Amino acid sequence: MDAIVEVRRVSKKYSRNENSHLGYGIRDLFDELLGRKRSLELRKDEFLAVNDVSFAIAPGETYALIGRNGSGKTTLLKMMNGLIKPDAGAIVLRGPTQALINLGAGFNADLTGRDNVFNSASLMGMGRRETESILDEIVDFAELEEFIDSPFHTYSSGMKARLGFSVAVHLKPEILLIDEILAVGDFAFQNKCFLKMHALKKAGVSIVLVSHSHTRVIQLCEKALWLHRGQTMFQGPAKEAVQAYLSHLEAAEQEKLARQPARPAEPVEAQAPRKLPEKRKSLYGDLYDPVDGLTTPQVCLLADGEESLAFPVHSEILIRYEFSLQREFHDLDISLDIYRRDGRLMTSLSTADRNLLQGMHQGALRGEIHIADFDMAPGSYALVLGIRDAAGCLCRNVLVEFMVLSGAGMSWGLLDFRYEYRIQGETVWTNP
Amino acid sequence: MAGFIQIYSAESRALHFSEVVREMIQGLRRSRYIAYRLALKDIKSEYAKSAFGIVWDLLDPLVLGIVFYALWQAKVFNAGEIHMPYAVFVVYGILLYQIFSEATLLSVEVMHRSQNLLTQLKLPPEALILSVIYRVAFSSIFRIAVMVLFSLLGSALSPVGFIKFLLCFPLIILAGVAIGIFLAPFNAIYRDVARFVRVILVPLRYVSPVLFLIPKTSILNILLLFNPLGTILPNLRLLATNNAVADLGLTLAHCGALAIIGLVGWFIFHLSIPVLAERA
Repeated sequence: MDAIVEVRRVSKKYSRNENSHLGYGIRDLFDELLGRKRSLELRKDEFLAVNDVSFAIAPGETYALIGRNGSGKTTLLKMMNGLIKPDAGAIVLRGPTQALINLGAGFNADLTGRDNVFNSASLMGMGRRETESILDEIVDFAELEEFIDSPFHTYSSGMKARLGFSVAVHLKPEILLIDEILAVGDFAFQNKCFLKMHALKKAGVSIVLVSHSHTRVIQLCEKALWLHRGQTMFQGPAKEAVQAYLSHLEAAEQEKLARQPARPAEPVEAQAPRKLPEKRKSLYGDLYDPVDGLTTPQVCLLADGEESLAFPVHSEILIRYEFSLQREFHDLDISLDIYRRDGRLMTSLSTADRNLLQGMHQGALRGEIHIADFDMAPGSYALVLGIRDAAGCLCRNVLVEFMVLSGAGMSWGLLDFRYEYRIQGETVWTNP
Repeated sequence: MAGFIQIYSAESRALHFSEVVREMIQGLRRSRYIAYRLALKDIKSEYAKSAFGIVWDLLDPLVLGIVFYALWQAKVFNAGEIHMPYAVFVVYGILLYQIFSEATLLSVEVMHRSQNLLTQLKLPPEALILSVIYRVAFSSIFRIAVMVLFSLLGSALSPVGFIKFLLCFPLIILAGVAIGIFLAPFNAIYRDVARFVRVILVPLRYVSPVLFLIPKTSILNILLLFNPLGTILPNLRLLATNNAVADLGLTLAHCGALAIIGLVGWFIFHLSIPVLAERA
């Protein structure tokens, strides 16, 4: 059977420089008008946003484009929708195509939701009668019955996204191109979109999906293409593509961590009257440099007995910290907060609850936390150490950033439990 | 999927002239409803929070008309042999010129103004052109109403001539659109093009027979040979008020030249959108 989508050796170049980008625009326009062949030779400041990419999609197949921001996914999607012209290669589409590059495309803030449905549907090629015939379905899916005649600017971002998605998926295309829409709206909306895409897939619609949600990619797509700086790094089964991509990310992150210079120990400061520490805002809450009379705390991470900033999930971990109190502090509390790199607090290990630092007021202090099975999901984390006394915060800083590497299987969510899976009483999987 | 095939390639579309022309005609047919929605969206959002809406658009030319009427009465200038009350002459002139300049500017800027749409949705380029025509046609309804009102007040309305005027009236919109879409792709890259057009439109009003007739002996009369407004605008005015036409040969030549500019502009506009959408 013929592929419904064929991308044949497609390339696209852009200029990093705004002025030359415009100048090249004029030249490209004249080349187009005079029938001249486009050249792939890079002019000054140009780079290949998409470089010699080829793939094919069978009818009813769902295909993902994955990769970091700026890897060329959206550019490729836009070329597939005919919005921009490739500089080399060709794209063949054998069916009516609908693209969802932006959920609010064609919407106007001053008009009502109903007016915007008609506008958006018309821009996607639908007539007035056709739109009227599916209007109820669109409104129902978007759950906006009460608000459909309210001005669009009164909608929340979630409502806008629901309406945009609803219009696009009710137009019944044979090929649907979707650019990272699962990142918009609340969890319930994301789930609804996901289920709708499943329904479209079942109905035989071929879908090309750009997504950073690897779980969704694996669940929805048969195949995936991993793009890196415009080039194909891997294409094949979605799970393998995601694994290859994640391994690459981990390796890059490890390399970055290895390049970071070790923090030298701060010299011990002379005793001085206490000043209020200065507050800094961060993704991990407010941070404070040490007050006078407290040395900068040092932290080290030991994984399976060795100092390491990247270790596999389920490793045995020892977190060791030390600092010196050069004068007396009372009612001390030390908390070790572990944050995911996006700012989500994973856990806080505090001495306060059980009054573990009773009687400690001055001198060197060393603490160790032993975790037999570190089961946070693979990803990047930050360790924040906070020290307080009765008068307030003495110090709170990010002391170490570390990575948890993937183990044998894939893992989703925040944690990766150690578990045994039984079907009909028989163990079919043991994690890890 | 039988029968449906769409190919996007790096090859220049200009090499497939007849295919492109077919696409342009199909695009025009497919775009009528899209253009209507686009124009409606623009009109609604433009007048969304305005109590007087279109009145403001009419007020500006009428104030200018009053000033020139006062100057004419004070014999500051001679309007020439105008064959109608000066008030009627000046209202027709200013409103027709306003329609022409609105059509020109909206067309020149259409690609730039639609950049968000063009980078997110696949639209027939013709939808943008038609949307400009619809939008100018909408505002023209009110302007024509004002012209009729002044004709009746000045007893300068030929019923037969006015029907002919209505039939020929789209020429003034198409003249602006023809020039505008020819320049639009270049304005998508360098905004200087629209600025230049804005600058030119101010003196063009005074060297065209908008506020007074250009004396035959004046050197400006030579410019009128190359200025389509020099024939289209006075002839529309003459048709409505006197059921008459002047300089038919030159008028037809101007219309032909504009038709060529418009068709070439449309072809360029059609081909340039996928090349320039991201740069607009």
